[in-house]
Amino acid sequence: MLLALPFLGPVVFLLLAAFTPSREFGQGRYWSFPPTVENFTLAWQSAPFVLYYRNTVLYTLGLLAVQLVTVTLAGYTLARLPFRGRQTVFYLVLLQLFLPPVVLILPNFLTLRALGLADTLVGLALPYVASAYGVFLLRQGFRSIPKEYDEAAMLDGAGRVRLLWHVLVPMVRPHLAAFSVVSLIYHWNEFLWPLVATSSNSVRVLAVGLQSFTRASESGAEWGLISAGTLIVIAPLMVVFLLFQRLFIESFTQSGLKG
Amino acid sequence: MTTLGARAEILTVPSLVARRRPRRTVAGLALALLAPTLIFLLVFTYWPLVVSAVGSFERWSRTGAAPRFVGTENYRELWRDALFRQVLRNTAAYVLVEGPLAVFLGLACALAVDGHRRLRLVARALVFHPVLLPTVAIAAIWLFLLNPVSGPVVDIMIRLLGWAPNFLGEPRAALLTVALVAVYKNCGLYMLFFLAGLQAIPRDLQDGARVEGASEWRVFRHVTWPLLGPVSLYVGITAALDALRNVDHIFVLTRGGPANATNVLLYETYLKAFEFWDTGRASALTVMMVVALLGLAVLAMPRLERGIHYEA
Repeated sequence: MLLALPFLGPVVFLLLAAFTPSREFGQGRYWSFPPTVENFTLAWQSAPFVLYYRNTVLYTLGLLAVQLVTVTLAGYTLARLPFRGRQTVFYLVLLQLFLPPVVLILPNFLTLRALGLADTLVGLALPYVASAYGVFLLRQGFRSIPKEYDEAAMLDGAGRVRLLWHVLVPMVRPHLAAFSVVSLIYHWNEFLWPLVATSSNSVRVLAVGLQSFTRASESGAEWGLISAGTLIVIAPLMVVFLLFQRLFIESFTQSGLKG
Repeated sequence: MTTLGARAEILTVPSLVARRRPRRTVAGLALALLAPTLIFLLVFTYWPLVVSAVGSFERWSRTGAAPRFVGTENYRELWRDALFRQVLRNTAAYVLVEGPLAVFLGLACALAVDGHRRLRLVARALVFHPVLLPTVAIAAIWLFLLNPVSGPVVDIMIRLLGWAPNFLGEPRAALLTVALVAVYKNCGLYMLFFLAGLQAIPRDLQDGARVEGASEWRVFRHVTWPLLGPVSLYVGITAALDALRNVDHIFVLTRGGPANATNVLLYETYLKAFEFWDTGRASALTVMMVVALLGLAVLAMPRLERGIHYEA
């Protein structure tokens, strides 16, 4: 427990600074009573957080919707369909864990520009459509289902697609949930690739917006403002985490080498 | 693969064999279902390797003219560049400090919270929450905590000790500071992996050792730690990967400074590619990063593979 307490420190100071005028905080007075909300009104006015929120929600949810389809199909195929070269394909997918899009920012940016998709939310999402982590997790999920289910359904005359949709997918729902949590958090927080792939304010996401906001307020030592901006960005995440703590912890426990 | 198919044939129920579609259709279906994943993997993971490799042998002019082939010049120039050698040293130091420290702290936290049920929930949430936050947000918090003029950490250290380091302003301290901020961010995740590993160890093994009079340290050293072996390896690989690929906090805390003290490989790649628009050298840097990561993959894959077979 003592080991865990220091982890609370930064959050405590963040909350204190957000509700204290920057001038006072800079002079070593770490709280003010009554707390002020001037930092929040100022932060809210100085950056288009609503727009950043909209972009981030569109990006993360849109990407997740596509990913759920691709990882389910690929996971099922690699778990169940016998075909020549299956192991090779699996390794080609798995290798992506070690070549995450963030280290390929330059070539992927050149590709996006060539495709005319630079500075769009769609372009931002494309490198993540294929997800090694998701495929790996879903393959594991499908493999854990006894083959008897497939055989029974096929004897009843169901085709592979109906078998997949009506019998198998409902059984891998926990795997899909775990993948969703990790994907949402990862992309909600993502910074470097969005910084490179987008340049207009109209497609800017939260993490990039927060960084430019911090940069602008740093020189003036506007700590209250920076803290308020940070809280505006992380508050929803913290609330969702407190509500669904178990799901989050279990999902990340399974995540390992996420991509 | 053929053997696997043949075995499947023997094992299938007779009535199914009769209904089974020809193998060509199964392969076709497999290809169709894999197509979305394979196409995007090809375009955004494997094609970039070609683009970077080719680009690293070219010099791009700022005027927009077609790039010309310059052989290995980009690599040779980088090697002669004192800045590049400093970046390599920084990267090595950063990975070697951040990785082991985050893994060690993750293990320590896991061992500390393992067992106590009620304590565990709270402590786990406390140590884990930075994992969920954007790295830039974490960096923004530490930026003001460590500020030399008005930062609370500096203020408290001066009040208690009469002295505080210039965390982000002094070159040597700055690299250590950005590494420690990453440790704060990452170790909660590694703690979860270790906790899962600890749960898989049968309690009677540890209890048995205790009954025979072994000290807690000996129980850990001779029973728990060896059984955690595969998990530790896996966490270590994850940590190395995380250290190489997450440089977001550097954008907020130091921007590579002071005097390039916190400039690491991926950050330098970003600078060369998107601040200086030096595509040739940035491509060469990307190739080096890919080589380092593939090296890591070669080390890790056989062991990962073993893990995969266990689960079958």
